[in-house]
Amino acid sequence: MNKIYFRAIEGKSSQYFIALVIFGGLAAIGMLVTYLMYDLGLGFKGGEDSILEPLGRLTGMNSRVPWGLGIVMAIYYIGLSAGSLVISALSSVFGQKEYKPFGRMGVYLSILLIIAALMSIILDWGRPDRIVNPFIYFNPSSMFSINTLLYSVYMFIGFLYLLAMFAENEKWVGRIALLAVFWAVLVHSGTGFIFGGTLRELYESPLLVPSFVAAALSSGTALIILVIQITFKAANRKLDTELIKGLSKLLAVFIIVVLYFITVENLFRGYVAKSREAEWYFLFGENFHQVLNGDWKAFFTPRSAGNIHHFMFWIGLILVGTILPALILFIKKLKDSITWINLASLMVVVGVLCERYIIVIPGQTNKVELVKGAKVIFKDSIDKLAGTITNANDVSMGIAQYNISLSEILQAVGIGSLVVFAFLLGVKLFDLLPTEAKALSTESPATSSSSEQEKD
Amino acid sequence: MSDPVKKPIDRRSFIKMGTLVGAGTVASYGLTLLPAIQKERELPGASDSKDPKPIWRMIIDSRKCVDDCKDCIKACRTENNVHEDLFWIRKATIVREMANGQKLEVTAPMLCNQCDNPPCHQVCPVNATFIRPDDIVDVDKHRCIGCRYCVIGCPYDVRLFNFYENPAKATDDNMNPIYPIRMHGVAESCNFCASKLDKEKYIGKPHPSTACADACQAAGHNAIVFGDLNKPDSPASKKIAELVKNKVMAKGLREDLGTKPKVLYIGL
Repeated sequence: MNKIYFRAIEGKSSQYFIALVIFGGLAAIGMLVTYLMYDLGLGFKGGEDSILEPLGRLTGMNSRVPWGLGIVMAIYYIGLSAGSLVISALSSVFGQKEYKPFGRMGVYLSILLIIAALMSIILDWGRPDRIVNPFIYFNPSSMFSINTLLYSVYMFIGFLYLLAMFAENEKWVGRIALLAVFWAVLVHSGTGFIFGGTLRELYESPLLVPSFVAAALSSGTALIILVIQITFKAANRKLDTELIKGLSKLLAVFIIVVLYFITVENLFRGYVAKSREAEWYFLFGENFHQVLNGDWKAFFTPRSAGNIHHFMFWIGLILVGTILPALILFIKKLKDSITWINLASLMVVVGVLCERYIIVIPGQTNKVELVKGAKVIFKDSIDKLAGTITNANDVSMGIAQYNISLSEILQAVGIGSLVVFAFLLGVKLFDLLPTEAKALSTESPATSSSSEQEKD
Repeated sequence: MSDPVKKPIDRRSFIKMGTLVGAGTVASYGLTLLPAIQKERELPGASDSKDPKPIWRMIIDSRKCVDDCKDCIKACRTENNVHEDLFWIRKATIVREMANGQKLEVTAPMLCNQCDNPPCHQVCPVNATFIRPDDIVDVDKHRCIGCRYCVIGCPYDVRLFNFYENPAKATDDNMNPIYPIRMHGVAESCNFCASKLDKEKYIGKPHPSTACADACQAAGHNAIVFGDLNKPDSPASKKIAELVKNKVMAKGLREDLGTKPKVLYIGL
């Protein structure tokens, strides 16, 4: 096998600098908003004469829905990170030597993504200035505490892995890769456990743990398919499309696994009488009573603009996130076309983001039954911060609402831009990109012709 | 080498770099662990030798709770300087609809259940939610990082996060000047008026009590009864004896969750 050479890009084109400025600027805006959240409080709302008035309430979170977009993005980034790490380990752990060119890139991306995940979590805290506390006051009974350890060790393993790759020490690359894959699964199981182990009807489920790992693998693979092509094109490096097709086969398998887990979990919840009502809420939104009585219009008209998790489930996750990409990747005519593979990957990246949303949010907005079988109404003493949809004859512990605020979106975009910014810097500063990537000639006789096409 | 590719890092410098990164990480971990090695400070509410550990219980009799009375809420606010837009204790109306259109309706205050097996303590990543020696669950707001895992973990929805600074001022008339105004960015909840109990024990009151129970007694309803079950003449012990005599059951909210609440309800 030919030796693979890695080389940094020159990074002198004007497009490169424009990209740096755009993503750096977005990141700066995100950090500014984050500072406001920290300084004024997550739920601060500027008065009418305040300059913060156009931002509205800084976050849409409330007493009933204390975890919002920050946590959604955090678990999304962790998934992407674990996925891209597994792809980079394909060559050394699973013996798929032709994927070696993507090794360095994958690990670098996975380090950036785990940093982004940690930032999303920490900047979402009420007191991010107390960042050392989780390390000082370790609570072994808390999954969050255990995850603190898992995440930081994961980041450290990522750095070691990258170092070993730069040193081109094959023996150590293999060993660390094995550890890294094991640890990535551990990290993801730990994250799934936080939700699966919580006493809420739509959370409490051991199945969340493996389904987190599956969603991580599918979204990570989809992301790396897109990132590889964009970077190779922008850097004018040769890329053998057979490699992308190989990755897409992997993606197809992961999508089917995700779909399987979702089906099992929802069928189970609908089957067991205890959680059936919660399941109807999950599938049909807050007007599920009307929907079940045949009034399908109620499905599309939630009382609160924020309670749209059922759209995200049916359209975002089921249609765009699993069914359509699975069809694309299994239909013979489409699965060999790079354009269709890219479309499927993009769909999976979006679909898994929706999956993260519908894991985090409906579990909280679902009604809380303080007394089983009875309505509990707080007439005059309902918290102003409760975020409960209150009608005259409504149940106070009923469906809560969560509206994503502008600042939360700016913060999420800022952290995402920081990842892109650091990735752009990384490909210039380090030898991450291979000079060319091609499939093993024994496996694909069509190699020469396809790499020919990619030249221009 | 005529090769344009840079020379890869050799083995020695790789090991050197790896060791440095590793040593740095271990050292920084070690440094942050130092304060934890120091002795945990003494917590309030510790029992001394002559006094057995108290078993605090609150018994709420929904049959005696009056619909439009809000004295317990007011008392709680004044005692604890609760955030103006939040309620540590709430007046709940519990409605059970019967088949023929009739409704069974009772009212009762609902507050932190002070579980013996508290999920909020279990999930707290920094041990900011701690259990005092007398089993009261309290929050160290100077340690809390505001991750809100406890708010998620609480099945009763009574752990509350301060999303912004309390608009009430310390100089307001209905505020207790002894306790601070609640800061934003941390989670808090009812702590059975822990500091009030400590103060009353210190001045030698025979049966320390919470602000809400005192207010309910002052209003003449006696719906909230609080006391130490280790003392046979405490209000809670007397109430339990009365319930035993009349064969009335008291139970906690959602005991199926395994949280073992210290607040027991009659008539729910």
